[in-house]
Amino acid sequence: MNLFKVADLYVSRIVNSKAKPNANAEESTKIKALLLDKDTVTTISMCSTQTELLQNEVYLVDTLENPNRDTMRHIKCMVYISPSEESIQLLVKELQNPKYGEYHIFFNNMVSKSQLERLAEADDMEAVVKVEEIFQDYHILNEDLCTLDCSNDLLFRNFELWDEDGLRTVTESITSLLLSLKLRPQIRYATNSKLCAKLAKEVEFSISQNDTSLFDFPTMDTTPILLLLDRKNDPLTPLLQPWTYQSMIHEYIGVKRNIVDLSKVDNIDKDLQKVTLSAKQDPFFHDTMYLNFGELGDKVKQYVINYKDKTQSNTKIETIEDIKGFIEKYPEFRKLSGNVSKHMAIVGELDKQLQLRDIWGVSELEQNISVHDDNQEDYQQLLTLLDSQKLDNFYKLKLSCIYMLRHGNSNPRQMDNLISRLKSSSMPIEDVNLLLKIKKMFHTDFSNNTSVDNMKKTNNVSDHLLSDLARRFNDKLNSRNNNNSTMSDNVFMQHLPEISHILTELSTNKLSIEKYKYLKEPSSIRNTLPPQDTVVFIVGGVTYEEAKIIHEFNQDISKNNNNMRVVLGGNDILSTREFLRSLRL
Amino acid sequence: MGITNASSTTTLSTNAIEELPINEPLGSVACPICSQEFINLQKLNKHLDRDHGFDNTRNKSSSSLRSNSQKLPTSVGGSPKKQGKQQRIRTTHWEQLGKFPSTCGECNCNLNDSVGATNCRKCGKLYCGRHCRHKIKLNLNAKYDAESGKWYICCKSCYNKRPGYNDYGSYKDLTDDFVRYRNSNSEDKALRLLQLEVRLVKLVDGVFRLYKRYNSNVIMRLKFSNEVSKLERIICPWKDDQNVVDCEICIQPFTLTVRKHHCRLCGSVVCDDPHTMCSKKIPIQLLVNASKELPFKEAEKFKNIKDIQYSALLCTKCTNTLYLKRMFKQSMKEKQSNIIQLYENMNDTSKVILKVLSTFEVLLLQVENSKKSQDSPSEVLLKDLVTTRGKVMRNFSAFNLVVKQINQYKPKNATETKIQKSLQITASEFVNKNIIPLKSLNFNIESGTSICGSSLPNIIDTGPQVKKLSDLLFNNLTIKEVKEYREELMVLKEQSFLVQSMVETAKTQRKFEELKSLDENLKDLNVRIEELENKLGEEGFS
Ligand SMILES: [Zn+2]
Ligand SMILES: [Zn+2]
Ligand SMILES: [Zn+2]
Ligand SMILES: [Zn+2]
Ligand SMILES: [Zn+2]
Repeated sequence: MNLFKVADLYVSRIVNSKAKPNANAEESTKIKALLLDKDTVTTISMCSTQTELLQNEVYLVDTLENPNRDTMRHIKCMVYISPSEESIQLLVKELQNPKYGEYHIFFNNMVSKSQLERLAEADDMEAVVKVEEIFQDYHILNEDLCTLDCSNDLLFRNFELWDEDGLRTVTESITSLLLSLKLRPQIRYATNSKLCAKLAKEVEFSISQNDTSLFDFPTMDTTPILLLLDRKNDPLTPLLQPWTYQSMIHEYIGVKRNIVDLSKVDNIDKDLQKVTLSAKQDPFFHDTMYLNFGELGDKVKQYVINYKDKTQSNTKIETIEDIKGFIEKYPEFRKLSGNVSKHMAIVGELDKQLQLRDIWGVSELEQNISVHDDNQEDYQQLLTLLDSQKLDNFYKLKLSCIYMLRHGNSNPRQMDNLISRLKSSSMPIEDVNLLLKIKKMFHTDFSNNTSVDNMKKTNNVSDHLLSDLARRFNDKLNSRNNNNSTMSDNVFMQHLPEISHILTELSTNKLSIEKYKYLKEPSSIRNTLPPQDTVVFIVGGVTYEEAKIIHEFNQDISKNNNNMRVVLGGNDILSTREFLRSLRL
Repeated sequence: MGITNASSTTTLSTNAIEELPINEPLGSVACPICSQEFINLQKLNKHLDRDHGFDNTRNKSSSSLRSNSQKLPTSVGGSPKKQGKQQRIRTTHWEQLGKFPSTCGECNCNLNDSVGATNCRKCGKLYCGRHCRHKIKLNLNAKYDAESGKWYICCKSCYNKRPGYNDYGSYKDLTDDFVRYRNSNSEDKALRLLQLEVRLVKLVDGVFRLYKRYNSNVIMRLKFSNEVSKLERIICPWKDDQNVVDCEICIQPFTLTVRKHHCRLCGSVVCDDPHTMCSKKIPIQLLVNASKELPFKEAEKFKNIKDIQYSALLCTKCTNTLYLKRMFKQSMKEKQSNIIQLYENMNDTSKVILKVLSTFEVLLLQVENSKKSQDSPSEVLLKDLVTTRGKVMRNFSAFNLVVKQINQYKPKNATETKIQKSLQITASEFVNKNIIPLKSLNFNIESGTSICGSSLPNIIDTGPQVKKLSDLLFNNLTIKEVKEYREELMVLKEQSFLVQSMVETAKTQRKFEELKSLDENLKDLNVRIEELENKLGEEGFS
């Protein structure tokens, strides 16, 4: 279940669209324009490149919103838009006075009958030759990760109540995700979550509405699962400082739609102010995105050395043949050198940010708090950091928050102490209030956190899939101690997100039916195998750290013949700041 | 029948399913294939035999228990011995172990007793234990049956080939629905169009008739406009505008500055706001010209349309209904923009290049091969090679020429600028991909007497040494290149002549803006001509 492949399929459907199935050659050589709206412009830019489009004679890419397009009647136009009211309206206008000679219309999700009728009504010129729904109402970040790009505060309040439009958007997008993967799943959801229960019903309804027309896939011998999780059940993961390459870029620099904005970095080269970072197009990033910072340093060093080796062999240009050889390889070299400097700039900036914000100390302590039982040593360390002049208030708030979520209930007196201490310190009163709000919102005591339990458990059970992974990972870290001074221990990655535990259980058919209910109980649970295809959607956003777990899980399938493939989705990608911000509102 | 103790369970699991964790609480065991739970091993074994076809490997399991030296070909692939009350899955298609040295269909390891050879229950091929662990629902005919089949083990290939498993990208074609909706109101629209056309003809013909009648002198001309006003009211019933407060198109209220008007063709009340353009006064000349095919009677006979000072006020709805489709169809017939013409040229040329290049490479390979086998390449072959090379060169230069034309093209608007840019990128990618790699392609044809004899002149223009294609392509002025440069020069001179004449016309017609860009164009052309002439030197036109 590689989402990039799904995207490729769809892009090629659009750009190779023919009016009639066996259209003549003349038609196929026409110049094509691709007309997008603000949703699909992102979709296309994230899963296709200019080169790919040019190879398919798409010589013109523009937006439907742009009123200053020139009339070019000899161009055929591929329209790819979301069926939003705004885009339909614009398309109606376009069709009433068509700028191009021929229109092929694609929607990225289901279009209503009345919308279609309005478009037909507007098409007096009979310029439309094709109308098709495809299903990609989501943004693909990794081959197994997608986001809807909707922040929590737009979708629901206090993890309790859906906004009506928000619920519809999420339902539609999840339905499109299922259709693009051709899955008609059984739905399971976190039983304790109101948001998930409601969403589960909506998605099921949406599926049943299109049962015969769209969801008529061949029955599989195991039914796929759509598992809806609630961020509320694992608030620790998005609060902890992340350590994989992809997640650190998101946390410290920011990446939106594959674009990393480096313009604020000191002395940055002009060409590097805005760089694209795509797992699909950048092979180095593809290989390093899930590595932790320690491993990453080595890879970048190796990358630079390789580059130098390659260029060195080309420096002795003496004969004309040498020059020719160099020039022939030049485009490749330029590309490579661009990529090397890009990653060097990013890693350099990450390193600087870590030092600047004193992340090493913060991360070690928060990892300790999140896995240790309550103890004085950690608590004292917490107090020290809270008193630190250097540390940003944000991190103080976050540390207190983590402590509260872990030990707030079991040690209320210490917690009260902490809060009164914070009140008298330099922390703004809104922050202290936020802490109290979070305490109310997540009344569950995460000292009994299953992920923590599971951490301990997995360390004892030897045949456990993910404990194996975790151990290998830790071993790697330990073996690196000698040659890397920055990554002195694995203390920074002790916490294991809840999702890893859930996946392991699901893949062995042991996921608690009480905690993760079936929306419609299957007739014979006992006699079914673990699902082969699973879509996990986290209401409240996902982190790149979780994406890494999904990736490793999928990797393991190809190695071990284990049979569950997973795609992860969330309404948003969280950074620690984004998560706390959304709680504030 | 079946497995009777714990150690045989291990044998079984190395056969097929060892990765499945069996860490159930004591006293209960789960089936490794379908996860059903059983209170003891015996029950599980019975279940395995009955529901998953394991009794077929019974001999093997027990034999390997007794002694490893015992052969087991008869067991694997053996047909079920008893046709009891329980029906068993088909096994007649199973590949037999032992007759030939068998290898695992996935990893190619040699199969023998110790690696636990297993037949895929679906395709019947033999696999080692590690590569036959997928689970699939089969019916008794060993065919995939997702609904009512039972669980069996199968190979990766059978697993992946299940219908729908690696199938993505649903879509739904709505074209038919769309066309149906479009047709459903097209009849009404056609009627409305017909009505407007009839009215237009009436109006125009009427105006002409009146003009003819009242054109004779000044007083009569005053009468003309009166009569026209009367005519306009006959053409279609005007709506009563007393109670109309808003424009029927843009819905803004009428005021002192936003005045009411009646559309002369449909009679509706619309505004004259220049921003919304709800109505427009269209000169009669335009009305007729834009719809020449309508059956105007009077206008046909009348030559001096220009003299009639009459404009009809039409609402945008009527103008659009009458003229948009006409204009759209008209513009589709017009000559396409030059940039698109250039694109087509480039596209054609690159297709030809690719085709010729592949022939060329095949020929080169043949020459290489014949050299390796110590034969001298046949004359026909070498001749072919020479002609093909000529073709390659000619098409390269044709490609070059198109690219130059694209670069020199002056875009008419922003869209053309974008297309031009795209074309430039495509061209350079094409060069990078198809032409530059050629430079490093060895082109080792030794010309000279030893191989091809004197009967084949000019395979290589510059002597008998080993040459590379790159030299042939990019060295200064081989004979071929001289020829190409001459060709280009000829085209350029032709163009320059054309532009020159265009400059002259522009001067006489005093179109100075065009003149400027033409001049630039001419300058560019002349620079290139000079360049070529310098390069060619004495080889220039004689
Ligand atoms: Zn079973
Ligand atoms: Zn094998
Ligand atoms: Zn098979
Ligand atoms: Zn108006
Ligand atoms: Zn009208």
